[in-house]
Amino acid sequence: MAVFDQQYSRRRFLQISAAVGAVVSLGGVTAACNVTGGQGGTFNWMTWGDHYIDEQLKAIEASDKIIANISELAGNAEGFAKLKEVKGQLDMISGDALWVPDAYYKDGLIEPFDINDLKVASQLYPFAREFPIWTKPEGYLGYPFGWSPISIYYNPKFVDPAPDSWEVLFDPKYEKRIVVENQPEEIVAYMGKAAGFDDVYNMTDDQLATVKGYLERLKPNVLRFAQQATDSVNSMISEEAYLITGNLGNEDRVKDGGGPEIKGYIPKEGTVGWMDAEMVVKGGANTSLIFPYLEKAEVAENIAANFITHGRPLFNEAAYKVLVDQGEKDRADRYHYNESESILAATTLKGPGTSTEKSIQLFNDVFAA
Amino acid sequence: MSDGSAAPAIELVDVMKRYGEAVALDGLSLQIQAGEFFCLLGPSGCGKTTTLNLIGGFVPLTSGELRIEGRRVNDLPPHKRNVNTVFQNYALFPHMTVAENVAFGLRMEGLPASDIGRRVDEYLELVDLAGFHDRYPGQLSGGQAQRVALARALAKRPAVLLLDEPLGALDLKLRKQMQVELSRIHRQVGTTFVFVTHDQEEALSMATRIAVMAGGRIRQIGSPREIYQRPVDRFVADFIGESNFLGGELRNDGPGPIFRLREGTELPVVPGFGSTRTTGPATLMVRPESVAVGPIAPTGPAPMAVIAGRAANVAFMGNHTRITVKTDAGVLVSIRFHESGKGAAEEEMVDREVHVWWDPRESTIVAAGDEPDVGEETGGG
Amino acid sequence: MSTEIVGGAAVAPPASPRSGRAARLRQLAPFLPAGFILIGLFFVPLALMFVFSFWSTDVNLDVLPVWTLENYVNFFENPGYVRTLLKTMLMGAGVTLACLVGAFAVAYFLARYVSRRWARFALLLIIVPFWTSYLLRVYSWQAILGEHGALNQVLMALGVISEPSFLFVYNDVGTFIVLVYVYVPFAALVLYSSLERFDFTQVTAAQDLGANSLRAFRHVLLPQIRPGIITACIFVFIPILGEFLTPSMVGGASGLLIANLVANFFKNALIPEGAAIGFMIAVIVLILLIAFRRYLRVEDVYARG
Repeated sequence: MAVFDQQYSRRRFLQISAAVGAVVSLGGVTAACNVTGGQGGTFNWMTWGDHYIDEQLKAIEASDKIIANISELAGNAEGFAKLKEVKGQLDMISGDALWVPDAYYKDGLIEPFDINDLKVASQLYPFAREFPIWTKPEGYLGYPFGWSPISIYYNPKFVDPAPDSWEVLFDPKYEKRIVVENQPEEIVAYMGKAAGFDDVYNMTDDQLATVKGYLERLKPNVLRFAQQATDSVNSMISEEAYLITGNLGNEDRVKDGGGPEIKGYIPKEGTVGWMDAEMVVKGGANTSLIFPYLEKAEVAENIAANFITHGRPLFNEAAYKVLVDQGEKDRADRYHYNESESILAATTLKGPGTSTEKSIQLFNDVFAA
Repeated sequence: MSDGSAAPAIELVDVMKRYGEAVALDGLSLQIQAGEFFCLLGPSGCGKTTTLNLIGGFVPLTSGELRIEGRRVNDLPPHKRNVNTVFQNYALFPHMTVAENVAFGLRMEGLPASDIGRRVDEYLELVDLAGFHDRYPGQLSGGQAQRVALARALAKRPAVLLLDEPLGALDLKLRKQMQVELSRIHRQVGTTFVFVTHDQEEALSMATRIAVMAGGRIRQIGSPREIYQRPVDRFVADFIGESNFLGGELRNDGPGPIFRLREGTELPVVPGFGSTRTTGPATLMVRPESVAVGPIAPTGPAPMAVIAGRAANVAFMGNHTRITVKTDAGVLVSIRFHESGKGAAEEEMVDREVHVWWDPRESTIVAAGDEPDVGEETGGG
Repeated sequence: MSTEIVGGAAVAPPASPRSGRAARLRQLAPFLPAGFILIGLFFVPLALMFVFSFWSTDVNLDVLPVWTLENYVNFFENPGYVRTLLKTMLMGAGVTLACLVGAFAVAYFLARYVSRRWARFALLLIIVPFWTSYLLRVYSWQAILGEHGALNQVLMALGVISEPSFLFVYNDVGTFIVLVYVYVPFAALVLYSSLERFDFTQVTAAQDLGANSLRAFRHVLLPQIRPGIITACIFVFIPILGEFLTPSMVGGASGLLIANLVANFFKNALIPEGAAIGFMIAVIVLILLIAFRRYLRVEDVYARG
């Protein structure tokens, strides 16, 4: 799941701290209880809130005695920093795209594995088992889960003609009518896309100078920064915003919330996006439980249910068929569920890059007083 | 200071004060002459503090008229009344030195700094605190704080100084000292002092005149001596000092008025001492120190009031002895001050048949016997 | 103003230096937990922040322990940071002033005219919103101030405006309103506890001595509640230097304060860069605290609030 869905708040920070504290202490206890590593047990997992459904967890606990002790993941950078601290006290952690190889793997925090050892992996789209960025000599870096490109959503009542580019964000007509999520690095990255650059997480100083001009044009149109995805959705529902940026599926969320009919598109200049994976933590005390857990949790029926609940495409191909059988083909297609390979190929994947620090400096520079 | 010859320093005419439904002052009329040390005395809730606050301008009056030095001041704010107050808790400014406290009122008046300095020195000297200029209130004893409050108010040279139970917070010994001090200062400055207290001893020792108040009304106004010796009613008698009360009937069918106790004994009374003109049920009051006790009442040229009884208790109290005598008319208390060279014969009287007697000029008829007593629960010395 | 002997040392019997020290250690023992908390939760983090602020981050987002002044140079070379810091302080000063005025009115009324029991009850009501999360409260303000929010509806119903106004939200005005709302209770608590101790007879006395209300306030009340006022200022002003949630939620694109810029670094694991600005804020806070340490009465809030 995506960085874009993260709120960054004091409350969340406290939750994370508390959760990590609990993980640390629980980790110690459960490690002591599970030395023999029998059939069941508890493992510690730091993940986003949409990577699981409680009923599914309960079912696995009932049938296999495997309990997932979950702590909330706030963002890639924080998850990465936290894992560096607690290491083997976690057993599994979720991470995005290039964060997986460039941060977790590089720092030796995760244990690569042979994805084909997992029977359930055969349900994945074949290319998802072979992402070059996740393939290393020691094995595959994580179990692929979900993905989404960052799209633009607009309310056709106010936005006319129908846009197809990032340029609409700079139109003076929409002064103070755009809500973007409070994610400076991503905003700078898609401004890079708007400027026609490709490798937007590794921009040169010249490129960044160009991007600055785009940011400055964006600024007067920004009504406010959304703390979390629901803020953007709500601003469309209240029609305070005419345009928002965000993950796939916002048109349904706005409609479900009683809002207007809105439309979304992937800008023609290309976009940034994410795909995430479950990684096995190196030295985790209960990693023996992870494969048995994934075999149960990642089956097509569960993933289809997850799609319906949380609304963004996933990598489980068999689940697409389940969705079609369930009469949800329209919805799945609207979310490009079956087009993951082509769309991801045209998307710059999120990850720590060489221009991260300069991107933040640039953002701060433009949005400072 | 006021010339005082024409108008009284303070005059209240039919003043009413209500707090909602509650009547605090019920048609109060009062004149205080310039230079008096006037005391408002009464139990709590009697209206004395309200009266003071009205004069000070801290609460508005409901109706009636208030004049200070002949000028109607009903609607004037406190600082335009030429009146200053010494507050019960002194209300010194803790963040200012003693000198700054005393200077405060003068600064507010806009006096030149040199005058202020002189005036501060003068009044600190008056209250015997020369050299305390740079102390802070927190570093003063209660008595010293009291003097600063006095100096601060007097430095304004008001026509009237109001004092709200100023000695209430002091211990007994200090209180007695301050009583003497206050009297001295009053004589020295000659300002009209209006003083509120519930302590009858304080009132008796300092005041030139006392108004005894109860239930928002004045019960009696008079000099301390008048109030003590000739209380108009049982409430006043009871509130000021200790009293013996005897119930009976006043008769005037003989050569002079006679007070007839319920069991039949007849006591002579002096016409004009109390309400002796109306006959019928009445209460006779006599102070314990006026009552003598002995085996036999002396016979003399003037007839004494005599009652037979039994000495129930004799208590040695240091400078005096307290004898309680049970009679058919009730219990009487006698106080005998010790004179040098006299033995302690009183102790031998316990449980003996004795007589109590007094000079009729020492007793007074206070009120009809069945008069309900206002605020009696707080009465007594 | 009382001069009390702190601790029990003064009454301890004279003893040899060694046993004296042992005794002193024993007396200090109960304070050890507090000491550890202070060291562990305050001094150590501050020291860490200080050290980190002189290091840098590599592309791998690992902190490199290589000493550099770059983070500070960047702060001062980039006028945006200095401007934002100054703006934040200006905002803090404005909010503090508004909180003081509002809180004083409330606290004065409660302390002077309301019985202590009801005053405490009223203060409790003032604190009640603190039981809800800060985030929720700011969301509520979004709902009140927003385009279709309660304020606009009322103003339109009254005919004051014909179109929904963005005058009160997604700008500095919105930030100001919400920050005042958030911090007024702190100021009210501190000022109330100052005023509660104040003997109002002194005001009467000042008036009796010829002061009008204004001068009585200035010469008598104000000097005595100055510590409370300064404490209230510090309790309001300092947290505002660290406010990022309110400005990012109701401040709009131009309403960010300095803490938002810091948060942007931390959010992307750029710890040294964020630490440098964070430390600059900490220095300002320390300077303020040192300047006003004489007046700080922390017990106002914790012991009496």
